[in-house]
Amino acid sequence: MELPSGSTRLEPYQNWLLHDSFYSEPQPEPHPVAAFILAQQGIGLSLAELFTLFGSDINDGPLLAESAIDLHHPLADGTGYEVRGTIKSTEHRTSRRIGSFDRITCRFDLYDGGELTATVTNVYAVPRERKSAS
Amino acid sequence: MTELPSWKLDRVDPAKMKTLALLLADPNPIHFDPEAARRLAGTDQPVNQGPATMALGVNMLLSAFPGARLVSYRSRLLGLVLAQDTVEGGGTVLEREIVDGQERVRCQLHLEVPGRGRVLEGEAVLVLPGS
Repeated sequence: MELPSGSTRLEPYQNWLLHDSFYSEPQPEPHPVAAFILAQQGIGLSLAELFTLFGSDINDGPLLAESAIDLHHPLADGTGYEVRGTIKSTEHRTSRRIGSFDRITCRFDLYDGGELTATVTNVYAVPRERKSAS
Repeated sequence: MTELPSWKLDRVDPAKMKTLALLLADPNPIHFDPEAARRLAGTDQPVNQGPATMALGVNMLLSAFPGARLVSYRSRLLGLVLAQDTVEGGGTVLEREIVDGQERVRCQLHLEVPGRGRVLEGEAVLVLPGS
């Protein structure tokens, strides 16, 4: 299922703040994990809307379980990126830690002028029922 | 296999989580409101965002290979990192190879919070500088 596409840009001041938030010395080249932030900022719906699309609520405790970042080219601050996303798969699972949940895999592609710059693949664990108290 | 140098972040700073919540437009209060973290996550401190924990693994790798360029990073988040935590990391070089005249290293890495165990495991590929 395709997600609404969108666009984003990491302004130099945001790049500085992001490095600082990541315990990294600020520098012009963005931190590699900035690809994750750009994917999330640039896709055409908010994080809360994404979880609503999953049939969940951001306050229900969805978790980022896994993430893969592939940088086909270095990121740059001040560059505009088009972000396209798809829900690749949904699997139902059960774990002792979070109980019943769906494991939802989403892929986000960042394009600069039509060229694929980065791919971010995130796996979210979305609880489907409240774990009984123990 | 070569061990990566041990790595440590002395203290996870809750102020950085607040900045990141704004940059991410992440409204989840467990990242900035200690009371919400208690109520929703059952923790006594705000919870570090997943990408911020992932970034610590990258920092460790770039500290081991200064000037390298990360091209691939896969991480599994295994536990929560909380404000005030100390985070320690390590890993191994699994492979070195030359691709298109560039030296690449493939590493396995992990991060842990002393006393609570591993919080991240992953694998990464870096292109070394000057290669």
